[in-house]
Amino acid sequence: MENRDNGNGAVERLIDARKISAILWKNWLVISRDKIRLVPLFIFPFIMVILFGYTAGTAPKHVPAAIVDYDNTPLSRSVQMQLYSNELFSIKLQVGSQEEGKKLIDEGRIEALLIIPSGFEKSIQSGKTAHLDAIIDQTNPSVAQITSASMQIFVQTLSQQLNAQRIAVLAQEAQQVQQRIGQVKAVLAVPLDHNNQHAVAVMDANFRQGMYIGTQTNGMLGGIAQQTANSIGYPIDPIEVVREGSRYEGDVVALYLLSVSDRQQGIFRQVETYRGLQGSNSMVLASLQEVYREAKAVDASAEMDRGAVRVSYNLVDAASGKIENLESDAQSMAENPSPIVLNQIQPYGNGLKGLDYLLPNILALISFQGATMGLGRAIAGERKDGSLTRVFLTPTSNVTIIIGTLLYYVFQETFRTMLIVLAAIAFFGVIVRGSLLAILFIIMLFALGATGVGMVISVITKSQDQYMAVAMLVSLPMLFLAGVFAPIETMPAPLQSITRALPITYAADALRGVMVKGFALGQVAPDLVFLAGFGFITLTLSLLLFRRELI
Amino acid sequence: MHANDYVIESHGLTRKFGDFTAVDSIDLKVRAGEIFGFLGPNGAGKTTTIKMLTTLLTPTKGEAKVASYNLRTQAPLIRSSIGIVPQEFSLFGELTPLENLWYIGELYGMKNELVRKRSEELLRTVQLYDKKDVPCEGFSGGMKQRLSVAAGLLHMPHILFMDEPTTGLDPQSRIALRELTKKLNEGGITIVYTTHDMEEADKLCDRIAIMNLGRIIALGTSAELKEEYGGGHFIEIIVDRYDQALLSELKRMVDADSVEVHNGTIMLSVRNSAGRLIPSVSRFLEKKGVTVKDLRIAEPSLEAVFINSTKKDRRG
Repeated sequence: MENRDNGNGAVERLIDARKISAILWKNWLVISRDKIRLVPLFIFPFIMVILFGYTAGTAPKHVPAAIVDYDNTPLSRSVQMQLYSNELFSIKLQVGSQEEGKKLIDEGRIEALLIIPSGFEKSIQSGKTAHLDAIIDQTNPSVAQITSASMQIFVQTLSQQLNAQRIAVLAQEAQQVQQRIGQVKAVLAVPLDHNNQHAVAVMDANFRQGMYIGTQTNGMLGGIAQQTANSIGYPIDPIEVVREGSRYEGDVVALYLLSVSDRQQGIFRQVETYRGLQGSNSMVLASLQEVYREAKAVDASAEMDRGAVRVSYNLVDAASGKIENLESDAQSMAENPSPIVLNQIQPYGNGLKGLDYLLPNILALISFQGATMGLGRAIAGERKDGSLTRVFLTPTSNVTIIIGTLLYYVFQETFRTMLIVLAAIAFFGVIVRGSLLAILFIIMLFALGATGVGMVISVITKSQDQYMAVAMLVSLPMLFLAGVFAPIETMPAPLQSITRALPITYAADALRGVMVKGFALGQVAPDLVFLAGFGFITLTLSLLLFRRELI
Repeated sequence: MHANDYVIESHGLTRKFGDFTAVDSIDLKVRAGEIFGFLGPNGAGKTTTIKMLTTLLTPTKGEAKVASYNLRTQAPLIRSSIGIVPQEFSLFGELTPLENLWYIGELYGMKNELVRKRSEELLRTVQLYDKKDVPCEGFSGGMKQRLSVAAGLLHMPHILFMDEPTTGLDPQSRIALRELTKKLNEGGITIVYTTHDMEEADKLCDRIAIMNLGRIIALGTSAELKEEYGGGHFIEIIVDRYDQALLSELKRMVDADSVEVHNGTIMLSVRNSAGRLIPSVSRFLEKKGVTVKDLRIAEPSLEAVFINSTKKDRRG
């Protein structure tokens, strides 16, 4: 086959960095020339911040309300006082019954009826869950929704306060326990202070000394007995002598035998005495060993007892430490009970402070919206207008095309979202506690997954119109699930659990960790792992669904 | 003929979209250095064929070799050997001609100096050098198509596919683009050209494949096709006056298949050697006292070829 090399250097690689950067630069050129697209793209973040900056915190004030107090206890009266003193409600009336209050709502004189049921104080004092009831006029849905959210937060705060009181009591109890444990510790510590080591050592030394002396004595006695025995020549067996002697004359032999026997008998008695002494001495030694063994056994059991005491002491010591912690925790909690004031009742926070809290959600929402709505042009649009034809005709792999396109939008969305962060700091004095780099990283990671969603849609649709239709399906629900316009806590339970499975929630959570709580990236690692998985899945899906065909 | 003289060979190339067969088992051979035309109405399967041959669409069945590479297994190699001028403008309107060419060069992996040199050369060839730094959004249709040609040629391909490049252009631009195509072909590039314009195919292409309903129904040079499908020649006469008797006599005299009058022109359809009949027709009319304003022989048009070949196809 003839050589078909054109000399144009065309090669197809799976991932081609040069081609990826060309795609990036091309996308930037295309957008930067299109002013009508460019301006809104980068103005939008500012508009969002300004809107949220000024509108967050406009909870209604002085909602006309009435109170029914069925409980009529000191506690219920203090709750009443708190309701009177906050700005959310303007308590017009104190009514006698729920029916009376309802009538007032029907007449339109009040919008909320707050009910303290009977047994309120009692349930709280017995540690049960107590509840406050509210009837809210549903004719004005937005007021109703916000009032209901406010009530929830009011009740939350009240519970916190009550908890704080309970904790204070606990703290006192803990203190008493702590004192008692101190006493136990002191008692336990005594046996640990002295031990038998010295006594055992002295006993050991004495025993060795005694054994030595006893053994020496034994040897000496044995030696003396032997020497004495030897001193009579060989030992004579009297019976043998008598037998031998019988061959001689009876008297002579008998006399001899007697004289020898007398002397021998004396020595024998001496030897016997020595042997007896040696025997007694051995017995003394044996007893000494016995005593020593006993003493050792006693010492060993004493050591075991000390061990047990030591373990108990350690346990008590640890318990004491824990109680000490508990006590200080409880004390600090008790020292900072959240007083019920208006500022904390507002569902959307208090003005700029609300923006601090909302900003992570706003960021997550905007970057998701931008990513899912913005990729219409990327593959679907280029497929429709034919420019993808050119790309398909070049030896550029699908992976390179997808990664190049995706990266551009990841950068664009990250940049846009970071603009919001900076605008919020610059214009609204939002305090960001964590590092900006950590925020950048989280946003980038999330943007990868979010643009991945856009990419999947772009890859399966054939025009920008189709793209928008599908993207809307994904994008619009997020507006409501992102927790920006309505707090997630006030959503119905099934919606809440859906929300908790959404990447946007993980992104907002990680961002909140860094921005509000000042966490480092390591502390939001589970969120990051989830987001990375999200990015990986969408990228893989877009590669799998991407068709290098023009129909 | 030597096998290597063919730059495109296909066997049973087929593409279905669901139940619809857009291209139905096409066998064709394109010679190196020729301008090969696909002629056919919209929906005949020309563009689908081009898309398959340029790796933009996978064939449902069949095999093809393009620039000696296998269509199914060596697509990247084919891509670096062919260029295409697609039906629609396929460049970025926001970018200038130079930027568009730079981007394409990057995607081919060409050296930067080579891209720069080729871009300037090509922009001069297609007469867009003056506009090289102007975003091409505002270009006329003709300018856009010329830029498209430059883009298709940047990486020095052996084969250039042009898919209805003159559609929607004004007459001057058509002529200019046709001239450019001829010039490129003379420079040694094989050109595969699709059109539904008979005249264009006739003027430009060395060989023409007529497509209808996804199949090639006729293939040959323009002359060969006319010979086979043209249905003979016409003698066209314009006279000051005529009547039915005159027309009948004329028909009998030249042994014509038919006689018709269009806009005052008498058209006699004859099978062959029309030139031989001219003097006797002229003498006959003179004898009748009719003043002859014009008398000429009309070649069979490709239109006739197309109509006849499709009729034949339906019958077959």
